[in-house]
Amino acid sequence: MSTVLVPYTFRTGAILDGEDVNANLRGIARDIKRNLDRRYTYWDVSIPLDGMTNALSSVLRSIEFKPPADSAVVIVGADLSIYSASGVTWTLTGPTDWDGCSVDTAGATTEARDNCAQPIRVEDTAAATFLLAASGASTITRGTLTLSMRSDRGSQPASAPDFAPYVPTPVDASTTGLAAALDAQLVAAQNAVLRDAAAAKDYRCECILVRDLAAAAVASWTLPSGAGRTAVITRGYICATAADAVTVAVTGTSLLLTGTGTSNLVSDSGTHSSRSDDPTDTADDTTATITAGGAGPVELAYAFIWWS
Amino acid sequence: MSLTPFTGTVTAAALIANFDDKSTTLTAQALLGRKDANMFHRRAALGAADNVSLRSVDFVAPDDLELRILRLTVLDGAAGRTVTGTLTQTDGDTSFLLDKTLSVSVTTVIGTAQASLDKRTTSGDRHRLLKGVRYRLTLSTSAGPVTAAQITAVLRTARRLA
Repeated sequence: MSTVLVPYTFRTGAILDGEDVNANLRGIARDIKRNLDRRYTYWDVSIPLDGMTNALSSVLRSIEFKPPADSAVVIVGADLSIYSASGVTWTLTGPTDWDGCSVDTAGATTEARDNCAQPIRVEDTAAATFLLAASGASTITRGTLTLSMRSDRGSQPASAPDFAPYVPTPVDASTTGLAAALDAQLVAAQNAVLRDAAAAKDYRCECILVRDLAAAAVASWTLPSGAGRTAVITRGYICATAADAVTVAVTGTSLLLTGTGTSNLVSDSGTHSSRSDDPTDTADDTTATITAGGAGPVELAYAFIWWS
Repeated sequence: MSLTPFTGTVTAAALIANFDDKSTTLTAQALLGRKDANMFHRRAALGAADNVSLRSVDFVAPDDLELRILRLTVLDGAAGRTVTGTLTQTDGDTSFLLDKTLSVSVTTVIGTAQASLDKRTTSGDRHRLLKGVRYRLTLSTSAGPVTAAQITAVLRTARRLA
């Protein structure tokens, strides 16, 4: 049995009170607005920094971050956590005018931490690149860059339906052609309901990353997908000696990325079918793998798996 | 979703059907953004004596998030080791986890083994990670090195007003 949430119902043979109809139209409008008002989704993505050294090229010390096509996210905060031999300052910089983070290392098993709450909007047309640099010789024993991001499903490309509510036009005693007037109202309401459904891109992402992956080695992650993941996109990156390569695979759909030198970042993206599985068992698990090809270790390979 | 036009006569049945259809659809759409996302830590060559910093990841909950499942997956070349994954508050306090210990353990096999702590049931404790609190996912093993282990917290996300 369906759920009725409007205040009034109607019976054959009863007097049709226009105010009852109007109250129901306003109820629909209220519910549409209630749905549209819930537009933000917050999520964190953790990016491992283990093994990064000050001597690496700038590309090997940076992370490129870019949302899927026709979307944008706001990074509402960044948290930098580093464990490394004491006496060195690691600095995180990003887009122009972003404050960034700075930590003074305190030991290989002692955390040095900083965070930045300055928001940055990152569009699909221009990636944000986060770069780490050290004041002296240093190797990050264990490190994590956590980006807190906010996805706004109301931020729609120009080609998408307007993210707009339904504004009812009430009927009253002066309304002529009641059926046609109600038809028009219900069509307008239905169009707003469809707009709410179309604006269903609540993007989150997960990061897989590996450094110095030996030839033919495979790193794998199990990502329980839960129910109803849609718009799954993988953005893969490699920075490696020319001709070394990785295959980034997410449950059967793979990207082949070939390095062109350790000062160059090569990227590609691919889409995947929607995912649903019971995360308490291994059947239908979403699995992500990075497999090294070529002759030598792959210096850096990572991927962001975006989904809604 | 359907629209029943009145075609010149407004009937009670058509009114009910149209309003019912819209409100039901909106109720269903209000739940669309509620999906599970993963916070995880993967450690290759997990050793019994590894410092906790090497076998854990800290994160500040970006929103109020319901813990749905704590999942442990282990790949190993030896059997009989006990690998444990835990979710705790980073500062060691337990007040924001109902003073409970959330952990899942698995005994390794040659190959892949996995275990889950399923918190989706309608009875028993339910845990919500609170926005702004720093939590930690940690791996540990009774013997090592374990080829690879991954602890995953499956967390329910939802759409927000602000």
